[in-house]
Amino acid sequence: MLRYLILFCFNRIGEQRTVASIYHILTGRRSAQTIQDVHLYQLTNFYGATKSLTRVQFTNIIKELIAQNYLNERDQSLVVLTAQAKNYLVKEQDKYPIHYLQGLKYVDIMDGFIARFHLAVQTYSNLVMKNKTFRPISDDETVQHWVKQNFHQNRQELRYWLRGIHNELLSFLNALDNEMYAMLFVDRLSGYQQAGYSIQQLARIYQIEEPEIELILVLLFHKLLTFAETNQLSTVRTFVEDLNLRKNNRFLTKSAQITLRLLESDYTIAQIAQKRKLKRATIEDHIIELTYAYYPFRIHTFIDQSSLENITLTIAKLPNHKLSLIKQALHNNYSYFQIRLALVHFHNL
Amino acid sequence: MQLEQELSNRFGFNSFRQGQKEIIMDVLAGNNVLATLPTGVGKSLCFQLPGLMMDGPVVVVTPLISLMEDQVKELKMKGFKNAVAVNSFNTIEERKQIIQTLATYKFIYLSPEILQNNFLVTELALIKPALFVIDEAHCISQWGHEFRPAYLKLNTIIKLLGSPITLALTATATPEVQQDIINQLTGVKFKCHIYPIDRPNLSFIVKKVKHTADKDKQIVELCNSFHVPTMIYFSSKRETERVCNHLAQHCPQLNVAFYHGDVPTTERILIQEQFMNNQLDTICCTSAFGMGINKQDVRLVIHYHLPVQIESFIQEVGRAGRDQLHSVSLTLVAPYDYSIPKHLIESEFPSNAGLTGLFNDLLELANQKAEGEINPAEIMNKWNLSEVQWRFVKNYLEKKQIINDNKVNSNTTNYSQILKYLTEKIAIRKRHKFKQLERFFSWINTDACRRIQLYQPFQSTKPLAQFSCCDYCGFALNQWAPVVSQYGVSTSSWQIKLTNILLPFDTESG
Ligand SMILES: [Zn+2]
Repeated sequence: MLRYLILFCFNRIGEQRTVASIYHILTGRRSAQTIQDVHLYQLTNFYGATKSLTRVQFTNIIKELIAQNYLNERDQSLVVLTAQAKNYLVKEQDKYPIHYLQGLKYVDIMDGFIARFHLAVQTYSNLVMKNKTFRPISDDETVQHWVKQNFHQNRQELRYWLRGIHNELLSFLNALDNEMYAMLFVDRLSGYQQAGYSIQQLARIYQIEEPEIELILVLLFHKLLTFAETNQLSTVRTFVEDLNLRKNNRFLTKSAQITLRLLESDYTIAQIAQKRKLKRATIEDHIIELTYAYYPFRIHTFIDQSSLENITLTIAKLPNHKLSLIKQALHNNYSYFQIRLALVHFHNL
Repeated sequence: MQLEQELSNRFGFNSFRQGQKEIIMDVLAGNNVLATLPTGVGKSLCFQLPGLMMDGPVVVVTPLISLMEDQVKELKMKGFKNAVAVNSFNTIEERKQIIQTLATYKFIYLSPEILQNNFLVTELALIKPALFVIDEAHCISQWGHEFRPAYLKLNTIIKLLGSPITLALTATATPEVQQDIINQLTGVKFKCHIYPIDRPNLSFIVKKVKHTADKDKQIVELCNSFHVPTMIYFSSKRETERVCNHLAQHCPQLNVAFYHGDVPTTERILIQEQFMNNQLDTICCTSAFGMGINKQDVRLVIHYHLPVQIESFIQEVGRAGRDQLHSVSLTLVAPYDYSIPKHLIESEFPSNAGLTGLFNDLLELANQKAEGEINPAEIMNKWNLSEVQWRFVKNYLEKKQIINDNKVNSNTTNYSQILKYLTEKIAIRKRHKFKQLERFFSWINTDACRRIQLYQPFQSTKPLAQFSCCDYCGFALNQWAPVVSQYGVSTSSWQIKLTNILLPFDTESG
């Protein structure tokens, strides 16, 4: 299905954009260019469909598609669909339900939805059997907090809640046209005395590559959410009630727009400051502004994941978010710029 | 008899396990005790029972936050609600709340790092702890394999707390490390209870092979003939994956997975839970797996690669047979395997060039007289130091007053002397580690009883085998008949699986 999806995107875009732009769409890159692309070529549904697909995996698939004569290489960054690929897209269109995907619509809530769903199922299943010693499958504190609150509301009627979600999932899984999807979905679930399969294991059991497994799982959760909306599945819907759908693009200052253009051309902060004869701090201000507008706009260019998590965890624990207080709590190990980036991240959690 | 009564009343056990009673009696008699007990014997009972019988709170210092939380949870489940864990995971609010109400707790678990907080120590002193427990006491020794700098300050802290009765506990400690614990805690006069760390229900086999391919073949044969919970230890992440796939291919009946530090967290939790639930037979892992995992029926521990020292090996084989049933440790060695741990040791220490450069930078910062704040991330990056290497260097820099609280101390001058001292120190530690490694190598190549060679340096009594002893003493795998696990791949329909997970109460009743 991943190959089908990639060819589908190529077909829509035609020869107008590079191979990399398709990668950016599928992994949900938060740049103005990519957002513009998905609107222009009507690919909004596939935005962020395979968030964990690595560059190497993607490149390998492209190479394979070229070798199998689905794609033709024009030059290094440009490839075009062959007649064989066009036939394939028509012939196989009923086989792969990529229309389940609602990429851009759900992009800000999907991760939270999936994590809450899995942890809630695990928690209710164990606690209804009075087993309190299970290890939560999500370490994310915000997810754990939400599930705790939700559990608290329902703890008088655990069985009722479980029967509710059981009925809702039965109706959802029965409505899928491919039985294998239902099996995969259930094999991923964790509950009492039963931990779900990891991606590596599912790939082995179903003889499907890992990125493909991830795509199918995400697709099923997209479908579950739309199914819950149209069929009034009240239990499933509680998982996303407080999550906001994608925020509208916010207003950007002129100066930040210029910085944005330079960043898009891969200038560093220092280079932009020099070029524009501005202080480094001013450019950093722009980046904070841009990150708020297009969260998480290039956040990982400026801060690595572990620092980001480290700072965010500290922020979550502090009574107020004064920068100096946060800096101190982190033993001055991080710059104000890093802390401000982490604050944006925190506000977007 | 009286103590047994207390045990049964408070914990519901009828008898003590080896060493517990002697340690507890000494603590109750007011003695400071240093004790080594094998893993899985129930170290925590040694302070929980006397703690409950004494007036005043019990302070427990323990290095692993997850274990700390587990113990507090366990105490609460047993009905002792007045237990609390103070560590870096508490929010500031929570911590304030705990400190304000310290006097209401009987068991206070702390990480060594949190004890660096003077305010907390002052408050602790006010509630007059009756018993001060140092868990994993080997962390205090720089010769130990898990040295934690923060442990060095415990000596001062014990004094500040009014020198309560002190109990230092560990599962692995050579006489050298024991002596170091005693030396570091100068204010405490210890009575020592050294119990054999030998695991009588384990049998040892070392198999020498020529190539990796031989190892793979051996492991496939083993997994096909012994369907038991198995852990295979590797020192390379990539190899865990390769061998896991190899096993999956060649042992179709086997449920196998790999586990290492780079596997995403959620996936790691799933694998761990599957292993605990007996959904997995075999796990290919690095040493990242095992911390805090308390599975009773691991039957077979295989070392595909050698760890860097005997203590790690003892700890890893100690995960087999916690239920006291006959279990096996198998070590596979190929000729080139000896070089891997050597490289690992080399990579623990910073290079001379890196050290010199780092010192020059610090000196420059000190000369600037201004705040002189250092940026650890920058330093690690510039001088190519790993996290481990930096922690090692930082510890010395702090000890020698070159840095305080991440700030360079402009009053320190004798840089070159300190650098020389540190370089020597590193050379000594490297030599020590290589010596340890040589000890382990000679264990691999021994032509004497492996049990005696392995455990004798750690204990005064002669280790004895409860079942078969080792390959030298005539044990071979074809004499082994473990209870075979019954689990296999579930072939139920998704509907049944879904019901099992969401309506487990229906499944149970019929
Ligand atoms: Zn022997």
